[in-house]
Amino acid sequence: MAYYILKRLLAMIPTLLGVAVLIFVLLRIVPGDVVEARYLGQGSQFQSQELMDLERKKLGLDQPLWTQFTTWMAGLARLDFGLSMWTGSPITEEIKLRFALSLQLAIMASIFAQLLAIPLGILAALKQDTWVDYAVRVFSIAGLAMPSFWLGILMILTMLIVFKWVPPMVFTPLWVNPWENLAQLIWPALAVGYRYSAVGTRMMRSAMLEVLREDYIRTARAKGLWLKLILARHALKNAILPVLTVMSLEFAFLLGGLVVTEQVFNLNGLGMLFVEAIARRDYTLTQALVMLVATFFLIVNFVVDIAYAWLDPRIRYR
Amino acid sequence: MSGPLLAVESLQTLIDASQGPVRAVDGVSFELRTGECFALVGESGCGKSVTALSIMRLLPEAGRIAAGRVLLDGADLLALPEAAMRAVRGKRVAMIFQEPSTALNPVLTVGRQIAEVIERHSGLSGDAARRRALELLEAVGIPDGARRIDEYAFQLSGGLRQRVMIAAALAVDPEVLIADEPTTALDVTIQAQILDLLAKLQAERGMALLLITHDLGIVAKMAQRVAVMYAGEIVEVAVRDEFLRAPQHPYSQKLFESLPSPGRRAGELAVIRGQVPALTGGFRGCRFAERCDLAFERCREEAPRLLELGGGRRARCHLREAGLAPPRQAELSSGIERPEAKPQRTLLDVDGLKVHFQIRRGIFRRAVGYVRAVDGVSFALHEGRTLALVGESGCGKTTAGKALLQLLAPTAGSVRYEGAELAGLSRAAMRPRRGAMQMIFQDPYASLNPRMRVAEILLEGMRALGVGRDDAQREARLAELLGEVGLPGEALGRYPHEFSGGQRQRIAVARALAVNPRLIVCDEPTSALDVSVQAQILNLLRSLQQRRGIAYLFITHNLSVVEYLAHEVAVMYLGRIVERGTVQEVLRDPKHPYTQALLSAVPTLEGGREIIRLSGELPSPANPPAGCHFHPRCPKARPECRAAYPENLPLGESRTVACVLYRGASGEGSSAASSS
Repeated sequence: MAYYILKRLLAMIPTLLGVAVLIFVLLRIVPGDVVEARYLGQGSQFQSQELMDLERKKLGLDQPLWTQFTTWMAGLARLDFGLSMWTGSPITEEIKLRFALSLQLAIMASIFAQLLAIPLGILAALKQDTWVDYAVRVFSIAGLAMPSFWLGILMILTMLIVFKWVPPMVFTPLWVNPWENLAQLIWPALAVGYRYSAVGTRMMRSAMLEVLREDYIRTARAKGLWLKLILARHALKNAILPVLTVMSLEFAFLLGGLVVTEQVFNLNGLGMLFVEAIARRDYTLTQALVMLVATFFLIVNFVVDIAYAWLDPRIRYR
Repeated sequence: MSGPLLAVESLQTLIDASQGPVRAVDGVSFELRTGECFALVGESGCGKSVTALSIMRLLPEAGRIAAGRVLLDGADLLALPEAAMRAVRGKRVAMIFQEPSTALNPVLTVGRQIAEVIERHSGLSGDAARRRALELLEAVGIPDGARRIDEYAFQLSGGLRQRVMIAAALAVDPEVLIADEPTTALDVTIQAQILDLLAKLQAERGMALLLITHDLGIVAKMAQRVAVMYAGEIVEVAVRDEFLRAPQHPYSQKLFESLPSPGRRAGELAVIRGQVPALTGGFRGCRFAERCDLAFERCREEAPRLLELGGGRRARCHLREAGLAPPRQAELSSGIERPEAKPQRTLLDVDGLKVHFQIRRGIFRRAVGYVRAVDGVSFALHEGRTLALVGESGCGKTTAGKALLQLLAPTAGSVRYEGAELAGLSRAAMRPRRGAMQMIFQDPYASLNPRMRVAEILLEGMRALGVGRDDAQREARLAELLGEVGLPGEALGRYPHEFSGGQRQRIAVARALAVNPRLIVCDEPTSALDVSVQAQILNLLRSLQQRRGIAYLFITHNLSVVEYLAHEVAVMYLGRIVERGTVQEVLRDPKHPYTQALLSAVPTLEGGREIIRLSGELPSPANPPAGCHFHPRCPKARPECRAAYPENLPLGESRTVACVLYRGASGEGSSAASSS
């Protein structure tokens, strides 16, 4: 098992290297750079070419591409992401708080989604084709159909109009004031988690339906076992595997993909930062964010694979 | 004697289908006494499994019990609330199923799946339950139980899995065990082990066994009393010996007559014409009347009752009333041999054929070993003759069949068709020869494309191989082809799913015939079919051979089919042929200890034959035992068997055997031996 884990960790390196090359090249294929974005973007046509060249020189953009790449790689190897090309402050500082916020939001949304998806999916499968099943299906389709930002707006308006109360609009880290923190983040977590749970509910329902028709469930019933035990021991362990895969992919997406929802709740998360970094052609910041999200994806995938091996002996003993 | 242990009374079970409810079980009554083995026999779809599931109240969602009672010690199980029924299942009535690989939960250990029954029903828990599970593993003959108890189903062979199922079923000493085709998915030598085990445990524990099977040989071996089911009804009940001696119902008689056996080599096997009627509608007369050779007017007008014939015999047939016709004796003769034609010229010559698959491991996919699926197989196939390649699952017989058609690339050896080498030919070079060599597969449900009409299925091969000048000419042949395999011409426009299993296999035969082959590899073509349908396909294959002079390589595990159809036999074990010869030689007088064990393990109607019990299971072909592959299981093994794989010793004109026991007896001895 230790060998397997080590092997999987080492296998991440070539993947990350591939991502690095890809994002490096893609960013430079897109026309314009941070200097143009800053000066031309201000509507001033009169910036001198010399000034712009000077700026580029300062940022190292005059270097040949492979030099830029190796410099970046050398930094990455030391976990040094460098400075943001736009603000000039260390990227680690830029990302730190926003990462904490986004990660916390993703985890909260995910917990909420699991709490909703797994029981609802099982319930719908057990009561297949009854009103319970239809209700769950309508609920989950509504979740898929409704964008989370729209649900977010509805939530805020409801709280404002009905309760005359608005959640805090300034982010307080969890370790500073947990109450304030949760009062702010619980709402976006619910809005995002609802949509996220829909995918899981539908997956849980279909996986459960499939497993309940398996021969070994009939065997378990022939043994006279209680329904609860059959579900918990025999069915769930087999049915949870595909749910795990789908949910984990969604989870990794939550980290960097919540641009609009962050705006609705006035959250300063990674999603917003990502959009800004790209719009400003802030190469160093964009690259760092992409690497961060990619690493996160790989880690989540890795954890899921370990969980698979833990749940399914056929994988463990291969 | 205080009445039966389990009594099923007028049970009626409906299965909802799109065409309306199917009356899968329609008024079935029988009794099971303490300590007896009662067999419920019938072909697929007759309602025997649904009867078992109804007793357990484990019907699929679409099923419901419409009427009847199931009395266990006088108390009606159908009237119990579900919670009370749960206390009966596993505790008083236990059940084992056909397919042990799907009936066990893949993600739970064997020990867990046995212990949970103990915990549920006996109050023991934790370590005590585990210790009891360990004892059970021992009782069902699983070696090294202390290690096996923490293993998972996928780590066990089929035979061991079924033993685990039995252990779980018997965990709290149920009064009744229902075994639904418990050995159908297993090889014969393993089947013999499992049947022995069931008989032994039944005798030890004095429990009643309701055995559901389609195999009359198993009935002969196991049951005290028998009931035959047809189309949702019981048509005959009898004590075993009387049933075997003189079955009373025409359907039971037909079942016996359609069994392939050496005595029937000369002629055709009896077939039951037509198909089982749909069980959605009602019946006026006898359900079997349309297919019965003896039916008369009354059979179509009036449904027969289950008549008491005395001595516990009952039959649902008008003929039995007032002795309208004498019951026919079941024919059990064996002997008359068909005069064998002289060997024809050689069509296919296989020499030293090997197919090895690499096992790859690690990041760099290094080859760490080989599975020697086929490891040096030689035989010749003659025009118009049938060679049967016999062996248990995993012995490499199917791989050999595919390799000689070049559907798999052989690792070594030669395959010559009329003298021309096929091994190593490119796809393009092989193509013009494909027409001469065709294949029929085991499962007609999977081997025909469900999106293609029969006409397209037949035309596809003809077009690809350029049979016929143009489509008009090809289409002209279609009706003739269908006629040849006994299907009506209107079948051309229909899709495979509209046909029964037997009819589909006929389509598969027609597809092979369409390109005028000289040789057909038949890979278990009847093992997915019922006996009466199997008889139809065997008759068809036989008559096609006589008409067209086609050679068959018949790959099978079913020795009675071999006896009926084949001229020569080659017995395979772990990738090699251990014995080869004509059918009479090998089946009448087997020489190799494996052949002897294989033959003795087949349950026969005559019974009484001493079974040579093979210990253990088939070893892995990735790591075959040193020396003779068979020696660890061989009852006659000697020290030298461990040293080297024995050479092929010729015993007479057409016969070889690879066993050290015959070193002295062989004529030429080592001069003709092929080293391996």
